Amino acid sequence: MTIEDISTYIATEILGDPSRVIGPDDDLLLTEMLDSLSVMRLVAHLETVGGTVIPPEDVTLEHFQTVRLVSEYLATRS
Amino acid sequence: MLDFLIHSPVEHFARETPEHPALRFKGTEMSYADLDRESNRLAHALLDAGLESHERVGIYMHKSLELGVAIYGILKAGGVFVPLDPFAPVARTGFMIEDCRIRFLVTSDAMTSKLTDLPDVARPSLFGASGRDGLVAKTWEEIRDFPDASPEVELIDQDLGYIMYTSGSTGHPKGMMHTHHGSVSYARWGALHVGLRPDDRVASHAPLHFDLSIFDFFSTVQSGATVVLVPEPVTKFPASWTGYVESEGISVVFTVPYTLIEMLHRGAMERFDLSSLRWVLFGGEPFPPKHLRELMAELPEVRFTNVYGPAEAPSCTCFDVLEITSDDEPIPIGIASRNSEALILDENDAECPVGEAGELCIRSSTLMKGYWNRPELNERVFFFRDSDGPFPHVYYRTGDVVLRHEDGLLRFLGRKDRMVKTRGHRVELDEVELALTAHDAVSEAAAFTVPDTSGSRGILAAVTLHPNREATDADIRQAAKERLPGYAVPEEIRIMDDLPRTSSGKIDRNRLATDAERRAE
Repeated sequence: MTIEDISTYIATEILGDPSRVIGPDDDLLLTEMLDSLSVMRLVAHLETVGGTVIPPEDVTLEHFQTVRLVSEYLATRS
Repeated sequence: MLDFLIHSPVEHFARETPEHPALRFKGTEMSYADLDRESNRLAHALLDAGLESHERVGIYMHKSLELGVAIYGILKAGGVFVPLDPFAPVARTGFMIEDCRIRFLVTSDAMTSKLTDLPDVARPSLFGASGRDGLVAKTWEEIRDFPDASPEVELIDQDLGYIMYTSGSTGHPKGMMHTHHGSVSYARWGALHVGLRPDDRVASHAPLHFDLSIFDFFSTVQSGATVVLVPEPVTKFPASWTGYVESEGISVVFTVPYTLIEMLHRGAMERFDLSSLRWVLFGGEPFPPKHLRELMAELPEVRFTNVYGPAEAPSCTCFDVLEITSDDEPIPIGIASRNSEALILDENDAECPVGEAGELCIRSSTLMKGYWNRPELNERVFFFRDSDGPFPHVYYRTGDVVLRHEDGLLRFLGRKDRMVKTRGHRVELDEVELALTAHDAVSEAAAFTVPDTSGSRGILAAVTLHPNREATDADIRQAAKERLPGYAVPEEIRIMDDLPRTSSGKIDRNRLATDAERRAE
């Protein structure tokens, strides 16, 4: 998944605001774009679209703090 | 001998063990000597700006070393700190700033953009940040120009130390006023119970506006130990949190069951060395016994304590959990702490005999002085009972229904307002939840009521399932039927990916009920 795909999903499905611009390096947690609940929604979406299983030990701040980090992590899974 | 001011131990350990870390955050430390000096400077800066005795000062920032400086700086200046949730909507923060008439706010540059949206009447001067859009401010650099010796202020332990806001069941949040003496009593109870030592590293996992943080900060400082501030983003990822316990060598944590259940299921605990951990305290809501049993099996060397106490009178009772023998029997809340009396009253305010359920009323040195600016509420929540002297004993009515068993231990049965009447039957919603979580596949359950067409209320429930487990709502209902009378079995059981939470991590049952009502419309 590209950085744009992930940003679009967060803006549209999680924040319900398709016009929201999310920078690839914006902190998704401290800016409150993601919380515990939406992290799980995002993980479920990434698993469905990518046809992969993301193990709990990989669902960490290091992989989910920014859209770029999510994208880089997914690249290591494919 | 330390007195009963919250900040006195900082000064004490700044003399005794000046280089020992008082705070840690993301691997950086602040020693007791530095914490003392930095807080003195902030105190002088606040006094210089015109802070009056007992005036409220807001703390509005994410976890950081400066958060500790903010707490002690305000107290040393003779002020009353008011924690404001950095993640709350601006309108809610604005309400608290206005309600408490906050003129000074200790904050950070990351937060100030939110403050520019505040209404004009609630625009405080800022400390710890740059000014913007007309907000007057002093940066930490400017604050460091102030003297680093303790300011002379008149303060006794009966004075207020902090006001903590909690959600009102209806309408606006309400601010609980706590004294220095009350919080030190709570802090010492915690330090004694756990036997805190200077080499302990106590997690500050809960947000500052949640009363567990009083243990985290003030019990720790009583013992000259170290507070490990956990960054908020880490708390959102169970595996990151578990990793943080290992990397920071956390030895004691006080948190809500949710954090621990998530740690158990998604925290990849087997991958980390958690041998530093020696004591886990939990509270805020009941811990489903089956999850606690699993967690205790994972952490056999760790001690577990169930702490009961509303934020109005924290650390009221506690129970050290040694083993879990039944998944159906809720964990007792134990016996009253040595600074508290637990009185159980029936509907006529007469004391309940052993084995009979009633409302728990607390008399304690940790008891708040009342709700800020809410005289009508203060009329209702206190119960007065004759004493031998001229002043009656004052009890807080918790709204919690408990009973004392023959063994002397108190059992929490549920919230008074969670005892519902449904079509003529009295149902305890917490009992419904316990019956739902007894199903193997169910991880967590929330039961709530919605108005039905007959003018009564119907019971609904939402559940989450364990990862990799499957069950249908019909399966879960069938299992519930085996444990509950028919009228208590939820009419609808929704299986959800996760349950909505309040900012303190408790299940948000009000939101579930409102959503259900909306769907029914």
